[in-house]
Amino acid sequence: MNKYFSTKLSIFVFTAPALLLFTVFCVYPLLPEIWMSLHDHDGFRNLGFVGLDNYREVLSTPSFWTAHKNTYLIVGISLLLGLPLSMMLSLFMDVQTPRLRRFFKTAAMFPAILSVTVVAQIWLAFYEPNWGLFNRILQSIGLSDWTHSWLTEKRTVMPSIGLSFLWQYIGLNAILFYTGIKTIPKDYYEAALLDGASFAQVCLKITIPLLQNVIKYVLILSTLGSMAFYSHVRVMTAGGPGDTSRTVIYQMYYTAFDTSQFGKGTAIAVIFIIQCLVISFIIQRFVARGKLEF
Amino acid sequence: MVPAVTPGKDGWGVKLFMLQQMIQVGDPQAMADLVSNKTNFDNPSVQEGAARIETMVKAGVFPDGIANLDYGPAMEMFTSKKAAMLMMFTWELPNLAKDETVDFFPFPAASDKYDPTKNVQFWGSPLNGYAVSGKTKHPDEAVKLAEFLAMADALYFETTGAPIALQTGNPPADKSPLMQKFVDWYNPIPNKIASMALNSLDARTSAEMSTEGANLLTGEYAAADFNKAMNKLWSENTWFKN
Repeated sequence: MNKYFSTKLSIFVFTAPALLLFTVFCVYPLLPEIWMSLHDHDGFRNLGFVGLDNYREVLSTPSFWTAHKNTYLIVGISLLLGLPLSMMLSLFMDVQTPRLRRFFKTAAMFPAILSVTVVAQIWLAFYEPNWGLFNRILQSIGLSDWTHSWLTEKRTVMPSIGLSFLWQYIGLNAILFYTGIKTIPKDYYEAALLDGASFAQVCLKITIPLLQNVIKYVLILSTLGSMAFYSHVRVMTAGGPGDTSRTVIYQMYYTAFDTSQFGKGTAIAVIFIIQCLVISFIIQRFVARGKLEF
Repeated sequence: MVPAVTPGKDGWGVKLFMLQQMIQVGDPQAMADLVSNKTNFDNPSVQEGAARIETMVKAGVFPDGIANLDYGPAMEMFTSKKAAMLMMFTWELPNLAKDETVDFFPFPAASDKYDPTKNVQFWGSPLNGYAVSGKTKHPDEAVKLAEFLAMADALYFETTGAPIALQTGNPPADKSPLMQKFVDWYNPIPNKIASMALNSLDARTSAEMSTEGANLLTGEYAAADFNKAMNKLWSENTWFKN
């Protein structure tokens, strides 16, 4: 049986449907997209070949760079805050009693299964400056000076939206880490306990190193997911006020569909795809390359 | 309770009616000229429109976070008495007329050039949505389709009590006192200035005006910056070139 399933032909046969779908829905659409990015296109008519003019104009638009700054801020929040918190949550779940563990797993997954619109509306209510939860709490504990119009001030709008994004997906990453933790042989932990290792030492010397493949997977998912950050922005602020909270995907959508400049919109899309490929390559190349052995 | 509320998210209110209103309460002729591209945002009377919005925002006329206040929450603030006044299209009057304490008044004049009994911003009835291309190969069929859709719309809006500009054959519904007051005020007004949002903006200018309008509602964006940005956009507006 293994002789038949391990041949290159059988591998090809079993992966062909997925490859076909990927090619048709992901790779093939790139071709007309690149073509459109080289033309002045309003979504209905091709108004002529413009070469790299769309790219030049897009790169010279201040909103484009604002969108990039916001996108990478979200990536930073997701990686520097989200991943460590997810890891800590997964480690916390691992040491609980079975009953509490079930509760935390359910609680962790719950935000991730809600629709983005629901989550965004919940957080919109939290951030409402006149009667929202956060400002009311601050006022009730005598910190009225700390209240803000969270979603209309430049300093607070992106971190506020980022927090809603973090809340929705931190549990999902924690579940992924937790699943990885459960695959680590118990022998290592028993040996470490016998040697008198503390909880922190066990985490740093055993758990995290043996989770490197899971970490790499979650890193790629989180990075690319953050790069594609759009829905929360759409519902919570519509990219506003002005263009303050736009992300790259939002800017792409706005340019193509709101201003009917599909050529420039697809140029932003092509630039975005290149960035994602570069980042994925860097993570694949430099993160968790070696096989760990104890 | 705040003095007034309006939907501000994505610059909706500013683009669709507020900027025009704030310009024409100072100089209705300047507004009419802007709609027909006979002037631009270098015109001092046009510039005063954005300045009035900036003044209102900074004076606290609107609630905090107005730049991110969506349509539904804005209506809710008014109907739940958290805002004393609502700046809105008259399409909400049939709904709001159910509350007998609600009344309306046209925005006061900002100069002697404007008389609210002689000038009004005109959007039209809810039946402005259908047009037939002059280049269609099947004009008769296209007209029939547009007429069918317009009638279907009119019959629907009749059931809501909204004013419509199409004779459906049904007897007109009894109007509430507020609706009758509105019709009595609106119909005789001689100078109905068409909406800039519907009649003067290409897709890009329209989208960018929303962006700039939302900025204006934050209170952190000067009217001078708004007018400068709008003037550049206006010079690139392709609406009048088609």
